[in-house]
Amino acid sequence: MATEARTERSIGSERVREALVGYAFVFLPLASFLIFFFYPLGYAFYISYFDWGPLGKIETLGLENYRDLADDELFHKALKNTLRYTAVVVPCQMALGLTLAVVVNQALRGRTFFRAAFYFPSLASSAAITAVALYILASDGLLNALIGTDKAWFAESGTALESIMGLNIWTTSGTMMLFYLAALQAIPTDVYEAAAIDGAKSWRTFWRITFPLLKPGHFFVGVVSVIGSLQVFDQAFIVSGGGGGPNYSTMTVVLYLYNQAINDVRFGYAAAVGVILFALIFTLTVVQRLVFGRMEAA
Amino acid sequence: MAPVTYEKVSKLFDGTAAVKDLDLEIGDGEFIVLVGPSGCGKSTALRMLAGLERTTEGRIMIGDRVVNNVAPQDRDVAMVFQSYALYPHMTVYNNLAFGLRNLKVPKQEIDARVRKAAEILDMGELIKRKPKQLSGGQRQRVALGRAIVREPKAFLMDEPLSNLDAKLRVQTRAEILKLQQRLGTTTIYVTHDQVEAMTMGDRIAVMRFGLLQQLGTPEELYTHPRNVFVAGFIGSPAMNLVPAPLVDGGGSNLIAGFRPEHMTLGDGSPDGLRFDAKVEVVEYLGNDQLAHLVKGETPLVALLPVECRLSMGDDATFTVPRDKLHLFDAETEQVVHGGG
Ligand SMILES: Nc1ncnc2c1ncn2[C@@H]1O[C@H](COP(=O)(O)OP(=O)(O)OP(=O)(O)O)[C@@H](O)[C@H]1O
Ligand SMILES: [Mg+2]
Repeated sequence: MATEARTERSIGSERVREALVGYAFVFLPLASFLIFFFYPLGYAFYISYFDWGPLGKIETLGLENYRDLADDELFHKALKNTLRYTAVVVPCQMALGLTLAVVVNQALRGRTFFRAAFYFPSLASSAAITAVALYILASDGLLNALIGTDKAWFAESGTALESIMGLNIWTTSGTMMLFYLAALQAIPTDVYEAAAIDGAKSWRTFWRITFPLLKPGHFFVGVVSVIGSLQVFDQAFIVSGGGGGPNYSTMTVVLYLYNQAINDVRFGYAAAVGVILFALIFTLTVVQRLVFGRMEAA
Repeated sequence: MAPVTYEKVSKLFDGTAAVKDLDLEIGDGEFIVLVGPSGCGKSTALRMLAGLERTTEGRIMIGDRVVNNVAPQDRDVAMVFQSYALYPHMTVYNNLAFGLRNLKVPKQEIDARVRKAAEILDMGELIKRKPKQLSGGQRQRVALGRAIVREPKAFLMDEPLSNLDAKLRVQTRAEILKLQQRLGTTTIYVTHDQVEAMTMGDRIAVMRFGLLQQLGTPEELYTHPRNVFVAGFIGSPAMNLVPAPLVDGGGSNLIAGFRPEHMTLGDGSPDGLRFDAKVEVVEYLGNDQLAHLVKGETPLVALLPVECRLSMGDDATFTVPRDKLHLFDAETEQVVHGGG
């Protein structure tokens, strides 16, 4: 009896020690996460209740900032642009990333080269790529020379945001490809072999086996893509010189936030924009989780 | 249903042969077992028939069609994998129906065939579950069910029982046999377990190092092993294989082989081999006992009725009837005489 109790206790303390060692390992990353993520997040919530200038608190407003945002037409425009951008970019990014992943997952000659080549745009800085795109899409640029037009793609409000969409779909496709590639390689080979013997041709195999089994990949890529799209900023900033033009067609939520904070020094108002964006991202992520979680149960 | 033929089939992986010059004719409706130690090329031989590996040389025929260049999709065979390889995102019903849908079988017929297979395999209430929600034995049934609904030309099974516990394995073994007899489908069954091979196969192909060692009925392999390897591999407990002079069985260029169950305690028949050995350990098996012996340095095993009183350290005389003696050439390991 006595021995038994002792063994039990020592197993218990062993477990406690193991847990402590575990926490010790994650302490530093956890601390920096708390300091650099949760603290600013809470602080943003806090200052969004004030009129907050460069020197700090000016006036307590309560929900005034949020009420103003509800009537702020430029903010509405930014929100609409961002949502439209997200609605186009996310499916395109996912489809392109998946296609590239499937291509470079084939046993074809030189696939290492293609993997590297497709991934390359993701490595280059988006500012640099946007700068190059400005030349390519200029009215006397390469694209117009190729298709025989003289459209100033970034300068017309009908094509400016679309051009940024296209640019971003291309530059991030490599990253999405990489995520999908990892998900593809997690599907066991014997399932494909079983499907082949069961008579499934490649198209059916893709839609009936590969695509549904990629569900964890869809979820991950979807979440990353939605978050990235809702936060679109640098391309819009560079293309419009910070103004969100032409005719506010490239004004995005984050660009608006930036302008409020940096140009107009309205930190409280900008923080309120940030809080709304946070709520939007949070909600969409939860929804995605629910959708993919329900598919799991089905 | 169709006969299956391997003609001089070889498979090289990076220059090393996994299967060499395999010749095998499997009759329509026959149950044939490929057996051999790990790495001997059994799975490779089976996978070439399924179309999952290309043959390096030779021809494979299903019926009278050469299938070397036919995709697995068009070979009309069904396979049961060791890992079962069920479709994890599909219900049991859809796992079974998938192959039929690929063949564009009408919906009503699919439904009828799936339900019938489910009934044969006694898994009616499992039909709506996903593989994750099944036990190992139930998954195994689904894998079998997926093969039988297809009504293919041949069943290919690669160690389908090796993930089951011992009791379930014996049970399922009998069930597969019954199923195969009922359906009459040509079956090629791979295992490394000679007991499984002996109990299931109409004929058995013993392989080693990619080479077919012997092809025959279980009885033929048991009574007339063609070489030392087959002699030692088939039968449980394994045949005693010792230098012939040790038991006065012949010259030093020979290996004598005799089965533990053919040894008797005492003088026995007058024309038999007679020799003394020392008892080391006795294992009690219920009906019988397994005596581990040594003669000089050489270990031997005898299977004796429990009535024989033996205890550790005894010296005893054993007899083996002449007609149960196998002699093999020590050099080539091929049989020179025996097993009358
Ligand atoms: N894809 C492959 N690439 C290279 N070598 C392979 C490959 N598949 C099998 N081999 C080799 O071919 C030989 C036969 O393999 P195989 O899988 O047919 O053996 P097996 O008899 O089924 O063995 P086990 O009982 O362990 O399943 C082995 O030496 C193995 O290493
Ligand atoms: Mg194998």
